[in-house]
Amino acid sequence: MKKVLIIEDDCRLAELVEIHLKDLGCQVTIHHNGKEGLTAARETPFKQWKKIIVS
Amino acid sequence: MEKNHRQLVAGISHDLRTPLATIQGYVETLLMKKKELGAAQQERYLNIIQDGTHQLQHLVEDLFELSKLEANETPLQTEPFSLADLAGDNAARCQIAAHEKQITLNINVSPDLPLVTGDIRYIDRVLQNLFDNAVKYCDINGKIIVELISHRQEVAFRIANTGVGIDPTDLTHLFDAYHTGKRTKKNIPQSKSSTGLGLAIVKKILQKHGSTITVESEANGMTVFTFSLKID
Repeated sequence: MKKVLIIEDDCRLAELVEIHLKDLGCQVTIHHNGKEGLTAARETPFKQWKKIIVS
Repeated sequence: MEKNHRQLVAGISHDLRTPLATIQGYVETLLMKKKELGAAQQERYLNIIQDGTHQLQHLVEDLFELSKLEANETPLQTEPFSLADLAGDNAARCQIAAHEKQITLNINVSPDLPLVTGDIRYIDRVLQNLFDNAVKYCDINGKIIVELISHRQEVAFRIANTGVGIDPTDLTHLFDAYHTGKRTKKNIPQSKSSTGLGLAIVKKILQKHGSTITVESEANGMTVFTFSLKID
């Protein structure tokens, strides 16, 4: 499954992107601030992320 | 000046784009998925769209108000009125929002407070913005204290709230249009975030009344806004 990380402070916009990415079969992780998003990005080997979407 | 203008345009563009993207995205999602979404989910998306339109409406109204004030298009219609009564009305208007955050809101009025002179419609707007900000930035279980005292030939209005306070680097620019400051994004839910124009409008209105507004704030302490109006 394609892993996608979304870093977006607007919860509603993050959810909107998540809805459509899930339709495309992606496994989505959301973080609402940059620090947490960066930590999450580093915790997973970088090549495993298909996309990292930043606000 | 040019930098301020660029900052203003960038701020307006960002604040227009965000609710527009939300509205557009959720409308498209509703249209695409109308057959598979349940009634509750459809209603939730519609509420998000409605919030977005309210955000846009608020922003456009604030921009219109500020541009009218800056162009000096509307002359003041001054009359004597009770600033204490107006503060009471605004406190009543904020009670529900304050109650939701278990905020204690007290108003202390000096006895025999004289009437002030000013444009009541504009001063009401000043109080609306100051009360709304106080509730918005007050911590849960916090306090808002409003004081009205007579001082020489003026009535001083002071509104203080507990909370995170304002970053010292933001204090000098707080009344500039589109300077929303660091506390906004850190502590306010997106749906209640500021347009960044409210305090610029407050400053302009008070300038038109020959008054100035001051702010004092300490980290994790009280934030206090004060202004005075001339006695009738």
